[in-house]
Amino acid sequence: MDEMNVSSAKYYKLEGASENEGIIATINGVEMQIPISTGNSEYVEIMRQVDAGTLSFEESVVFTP
Amino acid sequence: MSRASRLSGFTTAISGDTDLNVGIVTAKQINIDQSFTFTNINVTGVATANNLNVTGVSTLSNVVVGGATTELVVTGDARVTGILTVGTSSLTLNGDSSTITGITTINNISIASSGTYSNRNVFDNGAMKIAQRRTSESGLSNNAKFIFDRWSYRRSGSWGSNSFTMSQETVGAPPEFLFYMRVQQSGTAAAVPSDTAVYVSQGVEKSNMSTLSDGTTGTKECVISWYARGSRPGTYSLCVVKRGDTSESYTTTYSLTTDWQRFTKVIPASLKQWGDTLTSSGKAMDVYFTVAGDGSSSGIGTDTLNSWTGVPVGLVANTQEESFASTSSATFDITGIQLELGNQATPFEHLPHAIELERCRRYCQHFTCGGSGTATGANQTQSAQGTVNYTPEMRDVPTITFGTITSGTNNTGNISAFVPRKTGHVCGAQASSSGRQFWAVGLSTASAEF
Repeated sequence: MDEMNVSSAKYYKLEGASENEGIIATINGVEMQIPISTGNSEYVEIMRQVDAGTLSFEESVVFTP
Repeated sequence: MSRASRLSGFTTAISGDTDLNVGIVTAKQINIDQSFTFTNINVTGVATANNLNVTGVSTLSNVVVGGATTELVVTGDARVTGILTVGTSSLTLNGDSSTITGITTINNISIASSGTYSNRNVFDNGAMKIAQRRTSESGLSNNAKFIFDRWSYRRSGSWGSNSFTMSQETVGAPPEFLFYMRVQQSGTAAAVPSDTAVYVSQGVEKSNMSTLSDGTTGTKECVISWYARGSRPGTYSLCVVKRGDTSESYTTTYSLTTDWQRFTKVIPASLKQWGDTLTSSGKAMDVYFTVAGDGSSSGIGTDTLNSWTGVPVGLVANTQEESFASTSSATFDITGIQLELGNQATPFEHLPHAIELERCRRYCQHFTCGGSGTATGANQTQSAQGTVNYTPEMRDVPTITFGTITSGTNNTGNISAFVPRKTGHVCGAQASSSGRQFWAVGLSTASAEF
């Protein structure tokens, strides 16, 4: 019953890093930085929507250190 | 007869206004109807006295004192070496085990039937004191929103232009409370759409539910209490949802009026754990107070009342809750929400503001941050880092919402969090070119809410 409108989501990491730092997503109109953690509510909801096929990740962002 | 050292074998009564002083009296039955004083009494048969004044140590067995209205008056010390049972219920004082059982109320204060006496409220911010993010927001629609810490606005289903306002109010709070939550109809008032509902909700972490758990076998009986009133009197509902692989719900109703009332509902024990397979920081329970909803919905109006049921398909809404959405500026007020072990709702446990705030900060913290350094090229994000530490440690690695850069130089405006942890993170602003760089970001939020 909980509503979370995720309008965009993309991974981000530092150049040269092997693992993503997190996800930059716009949720309910607000840009947020979401950790990759299965205990984080926003991360769980994003992955649920991705698995359900209602959300797709945009191209990842690679930041210059 | 004025003195005798030993009397025995009397077949007729000694009567008349005469003193009798004796050493040892042995009798199968003694009836005394005037003031009388014994220094040592050992009665093994039946003794009846209208006024019995015992000054020495005596042994009495099978004693019945008084009739329907007679009291027992003890002017000196009294000792009961066995168990004293008072009344026809179960109030007992047991000296051997040093226990008193059966007390539910002292001076009109309800006493917990089990559990702890401090920090017994499983809910955070039950008195609606803490509102770190904002104290009011209007136009609430489909998205979940935290106005108060730990308590969220939730709406399910497809609504039209109807919206709501949630605010922290002070005027007219019930006695002993400074604040209460108000949910008010604020958009275009209209009949509640099918299969929809608006709720006030809190999710509870599994680690805080251990007192309500019965080992690994299930849950214990607990009681929820709250103060509420509303401009649309009638039957409203609340629902407790047990999370985990074996989710269950317990829905019940109460009669809301325009005056503040304290409501209590006992939630029976069940065989399934709170949050069974979840980690300790997972959400083991949700409570939902329904503010408005479609009572005739096949999806949300048909849950079984007052019984644990399987995975909930929705929450119960009642007829009166339907009229809330169609009544312009209808209000629903609530505060003093408490969940505790046992079946006796104790007085609301008021915590100091600082303690309540600290509890809430496990789920939401504000911070500001800044950094300075020298970039050797454009777009660098590590040349002017800042560090944020969370105190206390947060429930989980939080979602971060940065504010805007309030001051700085040589920045693109983008700030990113790196190495995110429950205890803090590093953040850096992106340089727009090489050279000296500094930045400061305004009020930002780390949220580990459910």
